[in-house]
Amino acid sequence: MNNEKMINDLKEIITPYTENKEALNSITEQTDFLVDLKINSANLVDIILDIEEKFNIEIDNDSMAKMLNVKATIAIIQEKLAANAG
Amino acid sequence: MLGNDIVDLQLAAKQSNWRRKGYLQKIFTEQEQDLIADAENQDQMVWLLWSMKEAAYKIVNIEIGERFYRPKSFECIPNFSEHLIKGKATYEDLELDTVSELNENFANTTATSEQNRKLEHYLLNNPNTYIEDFNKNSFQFRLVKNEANLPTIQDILTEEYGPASVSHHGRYVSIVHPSQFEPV
Repeated sequence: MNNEKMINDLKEIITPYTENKEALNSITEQTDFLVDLKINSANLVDIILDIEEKFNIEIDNDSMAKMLNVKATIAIIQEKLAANAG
Repeated sequence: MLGNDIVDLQLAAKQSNWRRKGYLQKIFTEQEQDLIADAENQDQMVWLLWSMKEAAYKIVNIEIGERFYRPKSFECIPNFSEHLIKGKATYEDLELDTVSELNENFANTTATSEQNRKLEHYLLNNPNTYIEDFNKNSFQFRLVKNEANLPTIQDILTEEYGPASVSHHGRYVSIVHPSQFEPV
């Protein structure tokens, strides 16, 4: 799956939890969930659960630790998808 | 070092559905999940434990100089024997003391790495004007943001600066700082 498609899928997932909706229009790999999108930290777990359902992957505690921005989150999803395929 | 976190329970009920499948398992240890299962008021217990984790995280975040999202690695044990809930939050080999206030409106925790340090706590209501509100009402202390945009407290008499921790959520702003501080 290419990165652009992945960012769009991710955008769909994080939209309901985003306080700063305007920042969603300019989302890039560098976008930080808490700092830029003002997502409540208690909703990060919702995002992680939604990602697990959408991509049919399991995200462990160590992977979850890094999922603070778009880039790191996409890297984790790619890694888990690759592990599932292999 | 200190860190605090407040949860507005009214807003939390709107923002988060902790009853969804998998939610508690992702962020709470088995022992914490048992505390929630056995609690008379499960909503209050969820957000008490969460505020303990967040307050403790703020200290670890400063100590290691790195952000991360690993709530399950903070094992939190509240002790309900007193009006203020004293507790422990443990992250790897670091043990922090916590003190929390819990009622139908909010869960509010301060974590500290110095057990006997006397602290000043404040609860304010306007996230947009809390700095002015604080400074209008305090004779001894002034709240300012430093160059890094972090909240800092100044003792007006000694002119020394000390650490402050500020948390806001929904209707509340919680502020904590040491009663006395050394020159930084």
